[in-house]
Amino acid sequence: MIRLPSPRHWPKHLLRIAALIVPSAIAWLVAFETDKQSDLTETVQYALGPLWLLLATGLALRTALALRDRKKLGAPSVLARIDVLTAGGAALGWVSALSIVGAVRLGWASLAAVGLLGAALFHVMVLLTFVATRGSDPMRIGTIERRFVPEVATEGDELVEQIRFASPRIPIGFRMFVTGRVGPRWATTRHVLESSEGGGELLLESDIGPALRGEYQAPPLEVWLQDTFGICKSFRSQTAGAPLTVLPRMAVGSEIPPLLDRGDGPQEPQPAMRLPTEGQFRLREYQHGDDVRRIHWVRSLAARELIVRLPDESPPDRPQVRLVLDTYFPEALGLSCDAPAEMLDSIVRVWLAVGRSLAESGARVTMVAAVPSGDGGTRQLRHELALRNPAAALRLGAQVTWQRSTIVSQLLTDDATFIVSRGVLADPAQHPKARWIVALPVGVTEPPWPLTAATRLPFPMGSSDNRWSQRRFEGQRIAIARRDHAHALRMRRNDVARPPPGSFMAIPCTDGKVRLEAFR
Amino acid sequence: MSTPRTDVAVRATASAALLYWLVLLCGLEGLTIVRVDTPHLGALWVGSIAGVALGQLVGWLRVRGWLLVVLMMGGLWLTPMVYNIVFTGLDSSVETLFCAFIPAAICGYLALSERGALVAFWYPAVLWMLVILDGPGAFQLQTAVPFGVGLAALFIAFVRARETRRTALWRAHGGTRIAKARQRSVLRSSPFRTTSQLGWTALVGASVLVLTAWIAPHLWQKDTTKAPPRVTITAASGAAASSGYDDGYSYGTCCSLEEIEEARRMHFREYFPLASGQDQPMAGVRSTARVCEPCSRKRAGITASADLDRPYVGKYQPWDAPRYYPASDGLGGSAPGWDPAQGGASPYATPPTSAYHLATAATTAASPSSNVSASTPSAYATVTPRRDLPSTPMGAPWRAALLLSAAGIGIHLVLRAARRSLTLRHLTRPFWTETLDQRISNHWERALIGLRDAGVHTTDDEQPLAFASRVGIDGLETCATILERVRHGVRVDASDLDQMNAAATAVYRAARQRAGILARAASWLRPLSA
Repeated sequence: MIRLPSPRHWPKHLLRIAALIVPSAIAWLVAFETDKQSDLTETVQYALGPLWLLLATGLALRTALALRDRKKLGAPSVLARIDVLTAGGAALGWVSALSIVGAVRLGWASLAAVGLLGAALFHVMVLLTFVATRGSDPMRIGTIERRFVPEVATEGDELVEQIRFASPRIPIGFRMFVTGRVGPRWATTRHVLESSEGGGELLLESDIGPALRGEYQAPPLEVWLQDTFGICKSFRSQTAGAPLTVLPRMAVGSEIPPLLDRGDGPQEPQPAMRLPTEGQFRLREYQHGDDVRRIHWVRSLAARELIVRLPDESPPDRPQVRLVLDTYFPEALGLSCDAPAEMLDSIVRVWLAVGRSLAESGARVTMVAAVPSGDGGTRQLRHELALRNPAAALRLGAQVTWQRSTIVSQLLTDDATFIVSRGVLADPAQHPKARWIVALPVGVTEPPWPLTAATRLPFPMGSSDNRWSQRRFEGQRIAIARRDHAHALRMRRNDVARPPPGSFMAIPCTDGKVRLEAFR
Repeated sequence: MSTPRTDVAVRATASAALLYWLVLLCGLEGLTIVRVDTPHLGALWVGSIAGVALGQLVGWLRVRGWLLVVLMMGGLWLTPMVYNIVFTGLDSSVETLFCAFIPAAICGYLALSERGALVAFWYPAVLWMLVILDGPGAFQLQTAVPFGVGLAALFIAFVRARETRRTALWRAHGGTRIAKARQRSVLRSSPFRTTSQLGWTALVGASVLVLTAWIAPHLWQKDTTKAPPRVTITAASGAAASSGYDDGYSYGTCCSLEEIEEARRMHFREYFPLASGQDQPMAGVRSTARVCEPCSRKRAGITASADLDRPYVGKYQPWDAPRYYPASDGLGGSAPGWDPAQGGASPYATPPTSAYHLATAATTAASPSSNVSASTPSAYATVTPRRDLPSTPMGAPWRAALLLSAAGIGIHLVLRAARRSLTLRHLTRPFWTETLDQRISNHWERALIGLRDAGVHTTDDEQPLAFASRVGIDGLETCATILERVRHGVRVDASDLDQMNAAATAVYRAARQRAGILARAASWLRPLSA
């Protein structure tokens, strides 16, 4: 759901593809202009000339194959398949070419040595990469299995991701890079497999917790190969998605006022007001002071003593209550910050706490919510909350997300209903049996916004996340997230109305409990 | 086999910086050995080490490059003052220090960067190229090859270490929250992959070296300067005729004839100017006669007195002869009006007029600062005027060091094989008395060694029976069962030990059979715990 600025990849691809052949060509054009053309010409002719031609041929071949396979299902873009250079590799190509030019112009022997070392390594590695990463799938032999432990977790639990590699194909001289995450609010896992681990069996584990409420289909891991000198890479393939369910933690109500007007719970029946002549089932001996109208004469004759009838009792009070979760918040879907999700987590906790409180007070509670369906819309789900086995209700709580299709009035029936919402809509449904519980989203946190000083790199020098493009992308992401965060905080107030009489305000406490207060 | 991730990350990030220091210090050390009396060598050391240290410190502090560029541009305002102080007011070694410090700092900073590996490698390469090109007797292929191989090997190692560092940083740092890695369990691995990886790296390094060695020399440019002349002093009695100075008179052994060979010195151009170079002879050889005073008088009595009119007196300095050649004739010119073929003394060379002069000349020829060739009989001595750098014997120490290193590695491997052999012997039949439980555990360990030879590993939390079920080798389950009984305190007896011994032997053999002959051979060089 998070909307991020999508960087354009094709200019980078083009620049890196150009770096395959242009720097060498420029360097040798300059070198040919030297006075010693005969020596150099001969050397180039027999040494780097064939290498350069091989490289150009490989590039052409790779282009032809990429064009042929471009319409295959899941095939990467043509440019992505042709582009085998990393940023460091492109830099190596250009710097080595510049060194050779410098050696020709300045004449320093060290520049020639460094330039040739770099150029030779560059050519050798590109050619080897063309061979090693041929084909449309660099992972075509190995298998990757991914699972989460536990697969069904509870909100806040520590969660472990396990990735099992069986016979991964890692050509000698390459490393396999693996990265992925469950969702935007989750930690990113990053693994590197050495070439010595290729063809074997490996189990990697990483802590990705604490678990965040939701039902996820974790996106596939991104897998690619990169040589051990950091010059060339394969394109990124995607594999091994995995399901994960994180149930909401059932909160406990604290200082919950009586939400229902009748009944003291399932264990203590309440005598009903009956006429003295009513009541058939409870009998006892006459005691002094009993109403003589309650004497059961037939039984008295049979028992030869006075027997009186006691008034009938009403069964234990168990009213039917629907607890509806209002998840209609279309604006949240366009926000790229964590605040909407945190608000929903907070509301779900209130929803479950109120449901538990109602159930404990003797009501038959049906949890109702609109959850996303596969086609992009929503569907209404109902589950009765059983105190001894709340799994179904918790599962429903895990499934809910903000949605734009179903407003709360579509979830109401003639039964008594409590609506748990982030606020009363400006045009609330006029329903005689609906009462509102407004959950204050106190669980919204202020992210740290890791903006670094202009004079310092955000990460240790040499980290690829220090690149200007990455920093720019990250800066844009943070700016948008900050703006959306403020927007989300404003929105939780500006489209609500004063709660009608009889409504409650739910205040999550710091100890995990939920406190309800009646609106005055 | 589980590996703690923290240690790996620390090693990976530290290796690149350490390797860079190794390249730098090797270059400085080599330069010191080859050119021990180079002026300002200390300044070169100080400037290089301080520069790289500062650069890496700035990089470690994550200071951005643009800030450094701005600081350097701002520093340009101070350039005139620095120039006055450094280049005119202080000793010239400060100039060397600055010439080393500034590029060393830049390259040290870039050594930690993601894309600046090649630029960073330039400064150490300068030092190495000085060693390669500026050895004794100038550039010699045989001398240069070991250094070239070393430079290429260190370049490959440095680029690889830098990428390993980047990988470790990628795993630990990122714009998004990075999950903390826990256990890394290798359940099965190929026993030859690590060796293959090393071989592949060596192959790439060799390819790079060949291409570089093939092409780079064509890009080297040479500068030409006038070399100090090569002076040959010959006993005049024997050499007069050969030099064309045969006037039918014998000078005797006290006199000598001098041949002065002029040369131009060719040396490769480099950031730090090379001190020595390769001398190439020029067109001709000029001879001068050095005649002692008695001989001169004697000769004056025989020959015409016109010979005495030549301006001989008081100008001869045999160690400084080139000063008396006119500059206008160029490097290969000869003295005008004088033809050695026609005989007679050179009009510019002045013979010594006394025995003192000859004695001085002889002392100069024999002094340590001169290079005296003794390849000819004692009457024939070749005197080369002092060059800036004396030659240093290079082959022996390097060769010895190389042999020592190879021997050390060989001993290490032999000891490793011996240790494995002893350990296996002890695990099978202990050298000292051990309990039954311990002997069963020993057999299990022996089975694990065989499985590790085949690339099968167990994890820390994997139970023996689960491990046996995963591996699927006959006998391993028996071993696991007996081991579980021991671990849970169930009584075992001698028959269990025999059964364990037989099963462990079967597992050991089966696993090694599965590994193949090469892996079996390589296993003797493998650490037992790996």
